[in-house]
Amino acid sequence: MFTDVLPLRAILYQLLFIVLAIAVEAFTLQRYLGIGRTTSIQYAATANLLSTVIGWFLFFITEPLLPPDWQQQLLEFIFFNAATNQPLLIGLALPVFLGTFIVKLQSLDWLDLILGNKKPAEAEARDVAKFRGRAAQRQPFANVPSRALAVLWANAASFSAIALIILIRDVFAIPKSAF
Amino acid sequence: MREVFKQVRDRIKPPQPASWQTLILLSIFSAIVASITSGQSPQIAQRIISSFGWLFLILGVWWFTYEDGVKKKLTFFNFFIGPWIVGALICIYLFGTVEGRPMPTQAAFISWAPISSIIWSSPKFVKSDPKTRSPVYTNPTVSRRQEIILVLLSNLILSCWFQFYFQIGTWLSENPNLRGGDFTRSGFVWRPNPVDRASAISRGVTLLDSAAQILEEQLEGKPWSEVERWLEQRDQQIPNLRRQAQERLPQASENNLWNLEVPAPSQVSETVYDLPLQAVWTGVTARSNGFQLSRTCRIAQGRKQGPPAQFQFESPAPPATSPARPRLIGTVNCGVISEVEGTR
Repeated sequence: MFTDVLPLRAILYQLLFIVLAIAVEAFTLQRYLGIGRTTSIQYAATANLLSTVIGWFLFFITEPLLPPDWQQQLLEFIFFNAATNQPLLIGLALPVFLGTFIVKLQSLDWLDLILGNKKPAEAEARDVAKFRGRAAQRQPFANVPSRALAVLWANAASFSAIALIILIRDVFAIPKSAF
Repeated sequence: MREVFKQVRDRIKPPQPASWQTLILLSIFSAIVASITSGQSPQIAQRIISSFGWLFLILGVWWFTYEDGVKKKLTFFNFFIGPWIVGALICIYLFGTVEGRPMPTQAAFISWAPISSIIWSSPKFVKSDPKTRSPVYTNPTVSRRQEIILVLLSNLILSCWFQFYFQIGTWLSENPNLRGGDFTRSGFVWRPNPVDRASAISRGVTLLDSAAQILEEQLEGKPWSEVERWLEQRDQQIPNLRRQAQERLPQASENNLWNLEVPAPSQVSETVYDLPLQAVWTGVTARSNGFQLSRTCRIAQGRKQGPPAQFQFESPAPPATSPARPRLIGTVNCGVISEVEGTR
């Protein structure tokens, strides 16, 4: 049960990615929603921690259910960083992105519920836009502070940042011998 | 004598009847009683007493960590880590020692962080009633609720990391061929003392050496007909050779990762055979193609003139083969070990 092989790299990368994602998303949310810095950091932190926990749970639940050759590929990926089934990895990217987006959006609602915040005035903002007449009609709804859109942008930004770091890591990895 | 007793009593007497020292003393007392309690195999009495000892210890430590000076020392960057000490004790008690195990179980490690964070957040749900000064339930303030959410979630991640560690252990025990692998490229796992190539190769070299040695013992100096029979019955002889060679190796789990393979010999001439010996690495490598060490043993016919031949001269009934011919024997000459890559 106890082994000397430690998941230290996974832990360090996860710490780095969570901190990075919180920073990037807090910045994005702050800009799109026009909320305070503290609130945006709290939103981003809660959303990211919750999606990480849910991701781990899903991993532990689905891993034993995978077909044997997928399990073997998973082990090769985890222990040797060998992406033997790249179509699968790429195909997983979109569901993972959408899943985290939904979890993050939902987590903000739950957070508002727990903290007793009133829902951001999305409808009011639209009403205000209505009375601006033509100016509002010409501007698309992107100007309306929509929370879903903001979370989508934030998620895209943090995923891009993490993907960039993984890319840098794999490109600049020291080429090792075949052993 | 009375003085001594008085001193001891003053030393251990708690400052107040209701204090953490009382609880620690109670737990020590329970531990002593539990250790002198002997019983039959289920040891129910002993277990109950030691459970009380644990309970007193946990409550005592809990109380102790909330003492003013101690709490200040256990607070880093405005974060109080006392509950994680109490949580560790609770987990060791609940999942570790109940069955008398030397090491806490997997469940103890996984539940440590969430249990500790629950302990950490519990005082935030309690306030003292202004009139009766008794504790009553309260909703934490907004900022505290946010704190509780973040601490709880990050501790859940912590326990996921523990679970991932145990998952790695399970994978390694289910797939022993992973154990000899090189994890330096991995983005997930790290091993403090990796299996290095040099020592792994040296084990393969040892395997080939002992195989060659056994081959020499079996064939060197034996009559040529016996050698040829050995070569013909290769299919039966080689498993023997493999087993004996493995037995000669020092015991180490990595030795099983080298597999001895002996392909069909090639006949160089009528009386010379080249028998290849190969040590094939069965552990997983970073590349999918294999990795092996190879060595060729030349089994050739030699002539030997000596007492047996002379003895045959004098025998009254000479055998069917001409006795005048010197005896034909096998000679074994093993070459250097070379490394072959990418053959699997």
